[in-house]
Amino acid sequence: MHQYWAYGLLVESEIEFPELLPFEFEKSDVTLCIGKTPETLTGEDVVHRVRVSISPNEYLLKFLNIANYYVANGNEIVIQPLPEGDEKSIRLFALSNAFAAILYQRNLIPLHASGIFYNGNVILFCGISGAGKSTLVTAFQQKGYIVFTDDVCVLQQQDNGDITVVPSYPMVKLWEDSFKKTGLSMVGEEKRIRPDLPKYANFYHEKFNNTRQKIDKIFIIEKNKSLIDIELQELTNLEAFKEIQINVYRSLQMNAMQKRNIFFTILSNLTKKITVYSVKRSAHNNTLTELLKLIETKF
Amino acid sequence: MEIQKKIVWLASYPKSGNTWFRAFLTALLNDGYLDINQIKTDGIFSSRQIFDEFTDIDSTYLYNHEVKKLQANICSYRANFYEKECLFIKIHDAYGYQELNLPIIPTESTLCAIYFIRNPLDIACSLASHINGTVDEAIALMNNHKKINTSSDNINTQDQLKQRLLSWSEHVESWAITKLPFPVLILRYEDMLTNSIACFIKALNFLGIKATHNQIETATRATRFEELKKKEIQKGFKERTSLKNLFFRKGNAGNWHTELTTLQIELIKKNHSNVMQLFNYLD
Repeated sequence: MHQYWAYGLLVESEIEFPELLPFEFEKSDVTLCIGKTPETLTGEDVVHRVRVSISPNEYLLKFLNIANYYVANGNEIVIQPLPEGDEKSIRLFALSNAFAAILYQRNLIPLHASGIFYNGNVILFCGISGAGKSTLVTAFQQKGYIVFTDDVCVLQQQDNGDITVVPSYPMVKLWEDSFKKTGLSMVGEEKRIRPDLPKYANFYHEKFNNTRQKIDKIFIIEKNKSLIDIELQELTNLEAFKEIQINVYRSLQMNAMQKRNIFFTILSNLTKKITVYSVKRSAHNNTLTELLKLIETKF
Repeated sequence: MEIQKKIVWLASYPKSGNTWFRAFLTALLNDGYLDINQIKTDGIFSSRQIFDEFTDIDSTYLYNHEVKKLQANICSYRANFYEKECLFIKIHDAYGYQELNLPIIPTESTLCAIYFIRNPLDIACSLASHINGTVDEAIALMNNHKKINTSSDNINTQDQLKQRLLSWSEHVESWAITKLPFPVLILRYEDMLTNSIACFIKALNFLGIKATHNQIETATRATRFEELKKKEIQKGFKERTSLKNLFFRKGNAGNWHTELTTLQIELIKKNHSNVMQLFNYLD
């Protein structure tokens, strides 16, 4: 069995995950094994969508002919590989969907955000897929900042009411064109996150800091079709609440597992304590250099 | 589980009157009131947001052929999921089949389709503005036989899933010439311009929607092209894709006489004359 740290949890896995941080421990939080997944989930509290079923304590995803994923009780992931499933694809949807289910089952809230370290805390960049989060943190990394997390981080409210955050795992996922935009050297074809997808893994295991952090600021990144450049605006508490809410990771899971109240409590505390900015960038032009400069003025 | 036939496809090649008709339906079902940023139809087939919400999958990780395999399931699922009688779904994809040889749109949940067709000579002018490109680029896109409208490199950073557009002629053939397993009403954009009310009545009869003449007139007035354009200028339009140009640009028929060069006209006619002839666009 392989042992890893991921999303703040100790994971014992039958599958090797080069994406994750190897970590030694005696007792795991989560076990991941290869096996047969249930055919269906039944019960009144099960929410069924297209090839996915979710209840507060169980999750079943039948992903095309790649793999089935079953997640239960916040501590068990079972993967049943299917004939067309390649290792990378199987791992990618385990890391995104199955781990998100584990987190929700443990009352933890994953947020769609990348982040960098700043001044002893972290600055988060929230946004939907394609907003430019990974490109942005890579551009900051090129300027000397340390990446905290890519794509997802995990929010948790401490007993004293403070909101803290842990990273996902030490890999930034970048589309082919982001290497050119950020000046990062292109990685090899073996780093594709799926065999035919031009999106590549940029690992940063050596600099990965997996300790719990406080949030300094949040920037909500959005592509906008009617803008020629960039608009940055500080949000009121209410606006910040609404904007961050949209960026919860895998919202279907949160709703089906009935975790909205936990998220809303966290959000309510979070938006009272920290500054949140909305950053709208042009969907037409490459504004990365200006974007960095403008965001840095708010650090 | 019995799948209900309740999807009405509002199908067209881009810039052919689809949004105009959706605006009309919204105004009709809303006592003549229209906010163009709140068009009350049920999204577009290629919506990435809807796809992700109903699959729990981040579709940016998927290959195009995987997306096409799941889209039909999502539509049927939505047809059963919503209580309303009909789902009006806009679609720019050509009708066709995915790699398992199943239709990309689900027959079992489809009630019918309205196909909007417009003179390709006028589309070229309008499409150029829509794609932030030149008329020549628009013409090239309309002649493109590729299955996917953008480079099929699986870069998935846009807010829409890739559309299987095909060439203009192939698009029309797929929806308006081939016999489909559900009823299709064809509406010419030019007829919608010259006789809006008659066209809209024809569409409503086809859909089985009851409305008084007064209601139809009010909705037609509220969605006259100049009204839509005025609203876009005043409040913007979220479906606009161009930075410089309005979505509701000119809206009339025959602009090509002044906007296209002789060479451009010949190029379009050369590629699309058969289909143009069928729909009286060569006179």
